[in-house]
Amino acid sequence: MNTEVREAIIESGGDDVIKCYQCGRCMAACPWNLLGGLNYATYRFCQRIKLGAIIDSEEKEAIAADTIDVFRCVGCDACKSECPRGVGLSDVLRAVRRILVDFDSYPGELKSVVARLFNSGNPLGEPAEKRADWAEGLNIPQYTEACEYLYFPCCFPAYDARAKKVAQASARILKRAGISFGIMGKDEFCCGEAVRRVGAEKVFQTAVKQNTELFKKAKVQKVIATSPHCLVTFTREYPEYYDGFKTRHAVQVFDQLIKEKKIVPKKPFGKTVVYHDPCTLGRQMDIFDEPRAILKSIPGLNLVEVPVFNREFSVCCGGGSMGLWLDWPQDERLANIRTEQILETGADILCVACPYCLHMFEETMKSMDVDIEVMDISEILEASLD
Amino acid sequence: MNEIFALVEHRQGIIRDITYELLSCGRKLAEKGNTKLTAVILGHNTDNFVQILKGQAHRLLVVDNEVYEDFNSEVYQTALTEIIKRQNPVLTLISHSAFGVDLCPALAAQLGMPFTTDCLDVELAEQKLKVTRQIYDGKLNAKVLLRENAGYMITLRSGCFPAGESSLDGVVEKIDTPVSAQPDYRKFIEYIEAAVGEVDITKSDVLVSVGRGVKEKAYLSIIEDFAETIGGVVGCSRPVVDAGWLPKDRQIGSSGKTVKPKLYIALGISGAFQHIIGMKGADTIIAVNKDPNAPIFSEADYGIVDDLFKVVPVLKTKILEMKQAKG
Repeated sequence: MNTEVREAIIESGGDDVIKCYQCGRCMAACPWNLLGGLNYATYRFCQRIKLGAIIDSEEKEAIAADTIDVFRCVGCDACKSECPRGVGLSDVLRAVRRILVDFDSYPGELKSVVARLFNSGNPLGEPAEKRADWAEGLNIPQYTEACEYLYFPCCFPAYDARAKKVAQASARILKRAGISFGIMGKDEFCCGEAVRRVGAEKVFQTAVKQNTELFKKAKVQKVIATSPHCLVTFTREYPEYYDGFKTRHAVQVFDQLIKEKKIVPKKPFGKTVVYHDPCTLGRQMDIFDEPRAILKSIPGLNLVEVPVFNREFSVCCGGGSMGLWLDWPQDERLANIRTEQILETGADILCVACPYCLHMFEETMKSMDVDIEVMDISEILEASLD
Repeated sequence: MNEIFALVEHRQGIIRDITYELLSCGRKLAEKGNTKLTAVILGHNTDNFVQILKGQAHRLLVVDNEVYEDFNSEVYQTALTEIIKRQNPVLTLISHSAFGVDLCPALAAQLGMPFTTDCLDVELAEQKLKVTRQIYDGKLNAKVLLRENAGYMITLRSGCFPAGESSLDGVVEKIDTPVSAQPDYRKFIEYIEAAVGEVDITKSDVLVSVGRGVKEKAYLSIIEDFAETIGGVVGCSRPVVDAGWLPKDRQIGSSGKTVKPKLYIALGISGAFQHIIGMKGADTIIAVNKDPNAPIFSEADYGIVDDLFKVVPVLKTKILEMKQAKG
């Protein structure tokens, strides 16, 4: 028994292993097992860790197989919501990843992302000077104490040509509603969610330091996030280091603005729309009703649900925990399974509320050659405003 | 100043192109430092090499033995340690290739020499060596001053010193081999050739890359024909590999290859960021896509919004006309 590995994993935050009694419910809940034949035996991880029998082989192939299994988890927490003991398997695997990352034994694609994030503050390796380019022409001020909110688009909506449209739509809605907000622009750094989940803890600490110092200095108290990944990180992980600010997701703010009649969706949106619950917004932050309330407030919009797999049973797009950088074989992609489920609804439009989901589904729709448009909830909402 | 050495790299009887770049770099440094350049040839049946390289260096140091016919870093290390100890060159230039990176670190360690890899530029003055190399994933160039020493060693990145013309008349000096057999623990076995038709997309100056917009595998022949006309090779984005139309080694992007060609033509590629990360270093990017909102246009220097099957034949005809006009 290799107690050294076990102790190291527990010390790195994997203490939930002790709770697991291997009932196997996690395996039934894990989206990877919706793919027939993959047999991703999640329930074995904890036992193997307790026995010190993970990454203990000296065979290169056995280590590689272990590593792939450890990095397969997308951190969707479907397992956690089913676990009778509340084991956070994604946290346990994150602890294992920390050790693998320390030993530089992790997938090359992820190493590049971690390096880019460390060097330039975003996973795309784009220069910080371009971070506010998305806001060009929108007349959004730099955040100062005079602003009520800091709008934090995070990396994909700041840089990716497609996701920029989400940041732009969100900012325009906030402006229409007369919300006082500013942005950090080039000073903003990635929230660090993905690097933490992938196990690159030191890089995460860099992100925390950069952002918290920035927030402290500018006296930020309220943040609006477009990415639920930022939301969950700011809400659950940052308070350990700095808790001087509160974060809300854009859908929470939009929902409130509609209820307060500060924005009124009037233009009919004559389409059938299916809403996909992002794991980080739904299961992890319990935000299920607000996006649905927004969509229901839009005239002419026919909201449908994915049968069974909706709300807390939503299936991950596969983009979490840096999954969007891993190139799984075509028959091993979570987005394909989810797309099949979405297609069953017969919707014209898939509505998402997360930049990862947006990207994963747009690419999947194209590669599966299916005719369903993917839109962020901010884009649909904006289209319905006068 | 003592001489400068450049190690001749060869494979299967042919001198590798990087050798001419090493010699070009060596000549420049020798001229500035008022010293001489020696091409070090470890090989077998080297007459041909001597003939070719005679004009490229002041001196050709030849060690001819069958043990050097194929590259084995152990053999090269032992031999070069002896030679360098005896001749004391101020600087030894070796290519930053699989060959060089296998050999050089151990060789420098054995000789106790200051050593840097993957250098883009070299300055040598008053016995001090300053090199330029990249850091932070190629974002910054760092100048590195090496600990002062009588001799230095570096590996040089290919493409940094264009192989120049030279009309020296190198003195040929043959010396006995310090090594006569490969060690038992590390022997050269064989060359395994890449499968016929396999293309290294990272080496081409011109890349024609296709995405989902190509629609069917059958249409790839149009793209291949176009690529051939303009002297390029065909790469692709992930969906083309997913569909099984091109092999994985043609995929460009974060989970495929990173390319930096002089010209990158993206045909029917929307431009997901995973793809863009793999090609944004290209000198000139031309994108053709039916969708004016395709993200690829934000990376492109030139964009054409149209069906690639309309654009490609027109481009091909124009290029052929220009070629003919040039004669």
